[in-house]
Amino acid sequence: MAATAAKFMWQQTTLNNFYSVSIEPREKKIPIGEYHEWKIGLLDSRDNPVTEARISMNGGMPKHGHGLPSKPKITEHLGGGFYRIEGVRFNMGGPWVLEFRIDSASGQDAVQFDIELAF
Amino acid sequence: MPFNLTLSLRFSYLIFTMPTHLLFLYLLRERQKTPFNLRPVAIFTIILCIALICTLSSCTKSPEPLWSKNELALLRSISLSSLSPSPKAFSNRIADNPKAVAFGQALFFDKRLSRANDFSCATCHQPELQFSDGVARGKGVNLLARNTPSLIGGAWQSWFYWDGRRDSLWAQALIPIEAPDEMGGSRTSAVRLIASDQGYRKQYTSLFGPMPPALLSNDLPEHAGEFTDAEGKNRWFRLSNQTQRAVNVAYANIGKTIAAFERTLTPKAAAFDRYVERLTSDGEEAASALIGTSALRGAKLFIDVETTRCLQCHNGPLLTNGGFHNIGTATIQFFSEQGSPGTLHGQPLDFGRLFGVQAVLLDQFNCQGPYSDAKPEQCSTLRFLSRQQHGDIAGAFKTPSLRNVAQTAPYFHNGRSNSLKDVMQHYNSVASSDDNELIALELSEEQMDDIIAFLGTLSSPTYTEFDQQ
Repeated sequence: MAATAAKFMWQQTTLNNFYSVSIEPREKKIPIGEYHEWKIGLLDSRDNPVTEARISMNGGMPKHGHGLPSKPKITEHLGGGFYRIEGVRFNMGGPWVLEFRIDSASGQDAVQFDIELAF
Repeated sequence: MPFNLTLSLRFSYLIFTMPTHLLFLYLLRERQKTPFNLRPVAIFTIILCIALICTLSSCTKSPEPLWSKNELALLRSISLSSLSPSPKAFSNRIADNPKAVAFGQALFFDKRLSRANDFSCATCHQPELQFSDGVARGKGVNLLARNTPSLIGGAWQSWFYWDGRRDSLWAQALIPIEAPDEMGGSRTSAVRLIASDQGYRKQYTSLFGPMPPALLSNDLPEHAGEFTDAEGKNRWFRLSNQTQRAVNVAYANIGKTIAAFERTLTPKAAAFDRYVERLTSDGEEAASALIGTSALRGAKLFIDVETTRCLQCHNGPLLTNGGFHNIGTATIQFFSEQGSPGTLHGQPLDFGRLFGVQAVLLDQFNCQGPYSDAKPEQCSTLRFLSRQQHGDIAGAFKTPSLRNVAQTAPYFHNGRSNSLKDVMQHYNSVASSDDNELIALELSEEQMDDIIAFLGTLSSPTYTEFDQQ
């Protein structure tokens, strides 16, 4: 599973190193102005998939002073520590930030991804 | 590059390479006499030829193109050729039914939907003004608080009103009919009109089936509705739940037919779209005849995110991101310009999206309500509605489309700007603060004029077929 997650476009360790988080949009080209899905993969510090996590997502464009135009939801555990994120919508190109808060038996932790979107 | 010069360059190339060719032929002949390794000579000759061709072709290259590859992609992204078919209106099952379009068109222009038979939807959404009204703030029975938006391209929008307090064209259409300051009518009078007009009743029945007896009865009050004046409200809340529900079903259907008509008001091609099309098919020189040089400079500035940041909110073929942004049009600073600082002189402080979010959730005609044709999971805008109460939605208003913008003055949510120059000056001089998302631009007068010239190329012909209604 770790091998699959390694192919994801973005991968990062959480602030307290509790999790390794991988995220990827469903379509390679991230659309602007459309609701679309992402996938998030979680591994604990021993590289085991985390299957029962509560994940919340937030974000925005801190440099522009606004949040995400929608409130995405983590709707489903797809198996093997992968979860489906629905309702992601970006409304412009530029520097976006996606934040995830993760809570499971391994502890509470958070991670932030910087994503530069083209118009 | 003139034709003659190209020819002369080709000629000099031949003369220049002649000795190499001769040497090559000589060596070939020699090889027939004695074994001789030709490979290094051949490779050398080929490299020499390639180098020569490259040098010469760079001489014949045309001047620097006006648009880079990235700019071309951006131009295409805002031209109509990039517009995908309008999204399916899940909450309105007759949204694309031609019978509903015809019925909705008749209702759109029918003044009998207003209390005194003096206003129709078209009073404020005038076809000859791209379905806007040309005044700062709309005027129905009374003066309204906000500017009337154009209806062109409404089928692509997710939110309606400047604050997005409705989530479909049909839910929006139900408001002005019974708002006391707008048409001043009511939902029962609208339903009674359909029931009593033989033509309308036939059209209604063919789309939605027969009207229930409660709606045909004379007991149905002439003027009653949830959002009418006090008199109409009083009557509405005395009706049984069953009657209220029957009226609401029919009233929602009226909205759905008006929405079906409004969905046909799609954007028409403008000079800018023809320019981009020609640019793609025939190149820069051929296309340049379709658009002025000032507008071309303006287009370049418009897509230059570093300099103007226009594209951040005005992107895609409708030149709107469909989002809500605080651009400093409703801040205290604005009031300090208009009246005494710290007081609310002048127009009331407008919180925009902050209240719009609450209102759409409470609306019984929203996508997840009992009068919607959608399955709850099809209502993406409500399912993923951002409800955060952070400062960024207070004073935020919906980004308007820039299609036909030169034809739809005045501008901003309260019509505070009469001209596009005034709008540009706002973006150039707005004070950056925590109250808004903007950083003041540093555009020269000429640059602003160029952008305005570009915006003029987004004007398209009006819908003349409705003018005589």
